[in-house]
Amino acid sequence: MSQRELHTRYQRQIMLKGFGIAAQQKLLAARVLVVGAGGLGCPVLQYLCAAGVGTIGVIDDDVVSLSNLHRQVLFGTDDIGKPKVEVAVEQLRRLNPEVTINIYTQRLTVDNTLELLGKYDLVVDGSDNFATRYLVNDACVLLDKPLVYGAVSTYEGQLAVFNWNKNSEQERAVNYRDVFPQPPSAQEVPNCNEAGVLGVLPGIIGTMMATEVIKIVSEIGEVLAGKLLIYNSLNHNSYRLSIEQNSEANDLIPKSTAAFKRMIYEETCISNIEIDAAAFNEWVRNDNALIIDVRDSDEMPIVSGFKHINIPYGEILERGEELDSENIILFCLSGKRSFSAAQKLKQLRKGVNVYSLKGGIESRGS
Amino acid sequence: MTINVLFFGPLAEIVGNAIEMPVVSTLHELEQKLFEQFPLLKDKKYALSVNEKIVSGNVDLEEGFTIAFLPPFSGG
Repeated sequence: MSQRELHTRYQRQIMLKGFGIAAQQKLLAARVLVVGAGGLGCPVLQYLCAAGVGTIGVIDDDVVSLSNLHRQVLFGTDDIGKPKVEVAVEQLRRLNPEVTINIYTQRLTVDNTLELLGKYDLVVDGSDNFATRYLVNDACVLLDKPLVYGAVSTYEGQLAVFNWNKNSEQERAVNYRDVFPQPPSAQEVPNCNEAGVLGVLPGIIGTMMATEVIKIVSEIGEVLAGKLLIYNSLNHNSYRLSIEQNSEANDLIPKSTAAFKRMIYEETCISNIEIDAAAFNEWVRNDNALIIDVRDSDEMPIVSGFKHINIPYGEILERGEELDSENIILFCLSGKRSFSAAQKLKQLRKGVNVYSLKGGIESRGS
Repeated sequence: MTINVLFFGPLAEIVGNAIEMPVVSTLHELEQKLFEQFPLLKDKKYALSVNEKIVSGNVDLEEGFTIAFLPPFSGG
């Protein structure tokens, strides 16, 4: 494209005070990965492509279905059954052939995520399940990539920019786990299909996500970092909350590539993992379970009065195979770390009964 | 002498968008009081904010504070 055509295509934003050629050049040089080509992904892709983001990646392993069409506006009725990324790339090339679009017809896993995210400057999470959301969040923390997050349910949407902390080199930027340290269980939250969603809502939230990407890349405005915005489409109310570091998040995020690859993100049935203090005491009395304190060895208070060993949360998977008992019970102070550890251990040691003391040692009183 | 409590997403279907609760001294106490009134709330996952700041753990409350119950969303 000639310089002149380039100027004409983006003229209305280049002429903006505070934007100009400099911001446009930054967009043209940017590489953005969009996770999910659904209700959120469609408007994100359309606006980023139209705005002239130089390289856009899109990953989704799903095909277009009829019930997608009320909100996934890149697709038409005759696209039903076709892979979403293939339809999307056709539409986007018509919209702006100057943009390089890379498509990935696959699902993100612990094995492909770090390599794929590593090729991009910034990640947009428009996925539709908690497993992918936690996977993408943790990978972005590990790789130090900014993450533009959006999610919708019924009439409400959430928006945030995670892992972006331009002004402070020392302090770690907040991420999704600082808000919700652990994924909910299947019983705690309905999935999107059950919950339903107003068609325009992902359009609104997705357009806001694209806005954040453009602001980050072109260095304009005030990025929604360290904040969670909740938008209600029924009354246009929005509620903005500030997010602070949560120490539980630090414990739960894998610290190395190897630790990341050992994580289990797929949603699993985790019912019957938690036991209450009475059941815990019963196990202690019967003396036929291996009881493990998953706190770090120097954490207070020191627990005594029953037989147990100490394996810190971070080591439990590495040492999972050596635990020689049919019944394993984990505990910590509040029951959160032990719950997370029990979920993972149960995956590793199928056939072994793994439990977590609900409410932690605090629940047993003294 | 009240505390304002806001509910989002599916939690609003259980409690309503907003209610006023009598002042209690801590966030955990407030949760307990709400569980008594709205038992369905107990099994739900949520984050909590106090005066527009997301918090972890227990927090002291005072009259006029605004607490919000924020559910996680996964939909895209």
